[in-house]
Amino acid sequence: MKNESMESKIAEAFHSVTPDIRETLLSEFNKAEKGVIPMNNETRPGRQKKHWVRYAALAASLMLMLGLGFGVKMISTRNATPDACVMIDVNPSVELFVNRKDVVVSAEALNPDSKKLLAEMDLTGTNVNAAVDTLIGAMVKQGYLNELTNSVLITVESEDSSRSLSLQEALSAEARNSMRNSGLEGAILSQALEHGEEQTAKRYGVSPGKAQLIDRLSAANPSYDIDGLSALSINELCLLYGRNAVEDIHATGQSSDKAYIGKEAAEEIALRHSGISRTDAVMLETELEYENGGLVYEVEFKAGQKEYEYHVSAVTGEVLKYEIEARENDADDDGNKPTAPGGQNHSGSGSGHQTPPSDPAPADPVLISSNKALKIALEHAGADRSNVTRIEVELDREHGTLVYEVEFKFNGFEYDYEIDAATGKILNHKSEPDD
Amino acid sequence: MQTKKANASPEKDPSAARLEALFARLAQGETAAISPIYDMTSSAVYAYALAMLKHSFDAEDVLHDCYLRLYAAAGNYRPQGKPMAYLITIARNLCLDRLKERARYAELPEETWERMLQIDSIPDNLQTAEWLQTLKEEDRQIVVLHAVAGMKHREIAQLMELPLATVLSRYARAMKKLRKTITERNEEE
Repeated sequence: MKNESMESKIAEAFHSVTPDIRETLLSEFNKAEKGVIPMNNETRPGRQKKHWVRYAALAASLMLMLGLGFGVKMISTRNATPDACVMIDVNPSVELFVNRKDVVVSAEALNPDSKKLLAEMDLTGTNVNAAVDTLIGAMVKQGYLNELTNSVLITVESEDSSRSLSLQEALSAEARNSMRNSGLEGAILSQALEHGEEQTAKRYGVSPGKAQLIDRLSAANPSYDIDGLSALSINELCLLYGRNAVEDIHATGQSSDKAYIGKEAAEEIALRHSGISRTDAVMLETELEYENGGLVYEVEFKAGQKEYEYHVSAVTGEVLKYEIEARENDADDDGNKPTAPGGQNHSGSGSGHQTPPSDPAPADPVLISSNKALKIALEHAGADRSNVTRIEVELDREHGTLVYEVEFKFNGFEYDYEIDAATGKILNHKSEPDD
Repeated sequence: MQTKKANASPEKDPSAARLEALFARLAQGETAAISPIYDMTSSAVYAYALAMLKHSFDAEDVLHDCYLRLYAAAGNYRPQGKPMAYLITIARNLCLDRLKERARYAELPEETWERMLQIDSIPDNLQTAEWLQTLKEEDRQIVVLHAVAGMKHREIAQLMELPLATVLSRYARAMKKLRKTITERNEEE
């Protein structure tokens, strides 16, 4: 092999792994060009510099090197040195650099929405409390904060943890009051920014504060995927925060879930689907949760000898998934055999269950019902309904076709079927020993 | 422009001239010029940072900071036909800073070349990973600078503050070793 061809192979390999960060660079260039650049000549002993200190210093040196002012405000070093950075996330995300005397030395827009917002105000030189009040007021006025989305995330970055905490407390109260003055009950989450979040932020294209909230949520609940969470709004994340105990985050107020159908409605939908009346359902429990890129209500209840679990889309009210399981542990000698999913299966039900009024399948009339799908699978497996357990039927979209995924256990095996929801054809099936 | 051409080194290649023109546009505040600059140079900067730091996170940071610094300093660049060497010098300084910092604070475990070149998702990179693994530290840097950044041995010598003869002999040694790896591989199979 010739040198040239070895070298081109090496070059190709590196080329294939080089990340593309052009967009990040461009936005930082533009930021440096028109923003207010705080001077930062203070050298911090020890630790690695925080990201904003690094950028601020870099940007400052850039201005010196170019020796021209793009309308740059240079603030005298003594009072301009920020000792904390406060990030306010709603949807507009704003970064306020604050000096020791609680004066805002510069305000930066972290996304296009906040650019518009900041264009209309000059926060530099104001007290940070007043700045937060102004910002929140403007966000309410412009509709970013309203009945449906009332959550604010406040993230403070400071070398001094007690300073960070006192800023968090003061500004949370300020934000809450400000919303109250506009006739809105708000929910405020506050946190101290840990080192290293700027990396996550860069990768997911969100603010460092949001990145940290996402990290903590996904650490608290491993079933969350970070990509999906990044696409959620601050309000949605705050709602999820309410569902998961997350350390080191302080919360006041309740995030609005008014954009969703609500617990009651979700329960109605689940009950109607199962054919169980509300009075027969016991241990009814409903939670707002995150699943596959969206918020869902998880509705759980028990009735007769069965446990029901429904996932109802919080936005559309569609039943995304349901699971009906026999309560195997219960005494079962009154002949009331565990039976298959709710709906049309009358055979085994007794004990005062109301027979469901109609086919409970999801709305689309062209589709076969979930019970029909289950029946097809059971027949194929040669299984008898009364002997199968852990039945799960889920309507899913696969390669553009709607399919029922049917799972159950029977005779020491776990069965898995994919059934075309329109034709009832078995597309795929497998069974494996149950362990 | 004519007068500048006279000063330029005789073997000045067209891509260097293009890169210099782009640097000039960047210096004048045309931020969009970064896009073609990035196309032409990013894999060289990233490759060199990987060779120096042996960690993809750190290398990505250097990649990022390197272009910020270029933006800040592009106005200082004097066209001499060596825009790539100029950029790599910035990257080198950033890497050295980082290594110093690393020595002082935390011990960061090095990544393997297989990981840095992501052979899990890009199996074609396996051979390169094996090659780089077999090379000595300083030989590896020379090979990367020559192969990926397209720098001349003379420029590499200047950058690494080594005599030209040393760079030349190390480069030859490295290439010989790589060829040997291939032969051994073939015999094994």
